[in-house]
Amino acid sequence: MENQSVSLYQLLGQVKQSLKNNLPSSFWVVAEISEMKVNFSGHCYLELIEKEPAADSIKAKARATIWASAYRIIRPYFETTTHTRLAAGMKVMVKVNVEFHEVYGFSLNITDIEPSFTIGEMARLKQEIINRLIAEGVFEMNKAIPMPDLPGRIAVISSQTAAGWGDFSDQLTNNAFGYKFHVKLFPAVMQGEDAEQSIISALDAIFAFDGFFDLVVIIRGGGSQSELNCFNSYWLAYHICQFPLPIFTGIGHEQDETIADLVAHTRLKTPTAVAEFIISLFRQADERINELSIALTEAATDLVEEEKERLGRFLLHLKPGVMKILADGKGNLQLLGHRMNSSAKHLLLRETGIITRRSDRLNRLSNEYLIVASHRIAMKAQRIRETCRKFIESTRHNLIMLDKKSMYLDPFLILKRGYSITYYCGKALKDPKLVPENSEIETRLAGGILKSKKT
Amino acid sequence: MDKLNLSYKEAVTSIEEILQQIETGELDVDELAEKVKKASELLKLCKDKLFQTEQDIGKILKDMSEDKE
Repeated sequence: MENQSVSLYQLLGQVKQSLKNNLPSSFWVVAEISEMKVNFSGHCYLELIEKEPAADSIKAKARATIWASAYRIIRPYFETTTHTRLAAGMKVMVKVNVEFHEVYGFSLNITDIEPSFTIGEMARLKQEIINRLIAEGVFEMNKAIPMPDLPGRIAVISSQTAAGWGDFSDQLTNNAFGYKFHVKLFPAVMQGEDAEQSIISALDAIFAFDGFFDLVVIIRGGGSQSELNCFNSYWLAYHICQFPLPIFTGIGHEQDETIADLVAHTRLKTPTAVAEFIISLFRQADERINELSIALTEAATDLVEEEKERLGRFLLHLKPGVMKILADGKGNLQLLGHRMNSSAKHLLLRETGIITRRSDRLNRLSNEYLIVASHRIAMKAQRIRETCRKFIESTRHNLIMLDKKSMYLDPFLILKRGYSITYYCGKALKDPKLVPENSEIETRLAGGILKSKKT
Repeated sequence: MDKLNLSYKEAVTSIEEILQQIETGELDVDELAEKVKKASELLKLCKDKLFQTEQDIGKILKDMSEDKE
């Protein structure tokens, strides 16, 4: 068989023709946008894919375009209905014409879009995230933190340039009651693809000052209503849930709440509403303090009054009681006085009797004793006199006798009777052998001294 | 002193306790003056917290900004 050939152009022309002949002019197609780009002339180029749900692998892929003329209508229609911008990662239902061009190949020309499909898809996705957070047990965690009594130190996550931040800060600073708030901005990107990570980083920065702040506020003032997708992010919600401080949101939107709002401690619509709410917490605390102050004063005053009354009642009962006691006392004293008087007299009488009797007896006994004693003394004196007299008598007799005796012993009388005394050298001599030859001796005689020599 | 570190909630709780003691007559006159004095100090502490007279907070916040730069 001879090889028959056609040119590439002819072939692709046939493909184009057969597509045109066999397919309806348009389809409604469900797909996910994987890439999206708008060029300077307003044409939008996309890549549409379909994933294998279980494996997350791509099982179909096609280029698509929205020509500027159509995009000018589709984009606002989609955004006002869904409050979301068309963006990569989004599931859409679009009306397409299948196009095939010999040079540019296969592509889908998008002519229309069904926003309600995307809304449904987003709601489903949101519900999935909510379910996941609930299943993980974190959904209620931030809500479980008690409402702060006085959140005076406030960490704010917002865009520095956002009007909402300025309003919020002004409102707190210039509050009518003069409460003092310390507000610190942790700047973050609040819309677009980077918002999720940026807000999480801001939360991390606040966490680093653990213990200093009382409250975190996430606010977003102004900006497009269609930029809220980042607040439906699972990871942002996950961080909000588990943040140790209560998080208040004032993201500023009117339609359905975002997941960030749902998991936040307290959800308020606008930054202004958040500021008002915080001021109202202070106001409540202020009022409570004033109430307590008044109640305390009243209670203390009441207590003092009560005590005064009680004392008054005491006094009332006390007076008659005291009077009675005094009267009783007086009577008793008088009685006692009488008794004392009579018993004292009685005692005196009795004692006087005893003393008199004793003194009489003493008198009598001493007289008797004196008589006996003087008698004894007289006797003794008699005896002494007698004894003395006898003694003197006998002494005198003895003296006479002695005198007589001494007469016989008188040496002169003895010499007269012929005795002599010989002296040698002045001493009475009793042995002649004691006198040497030719020595002179003296002999005392009654008539005088005789001197002689021993021969 | 630990009184300074008391939170608003702790302070209010203490005041409420004192108030209750007075109202229920648990307190006698001897203790009254002391308790009322304590309560008024606590009330002042609470008021101070409302108006955040603590000077150091502003400084801490300022330091935070400087750290970042």
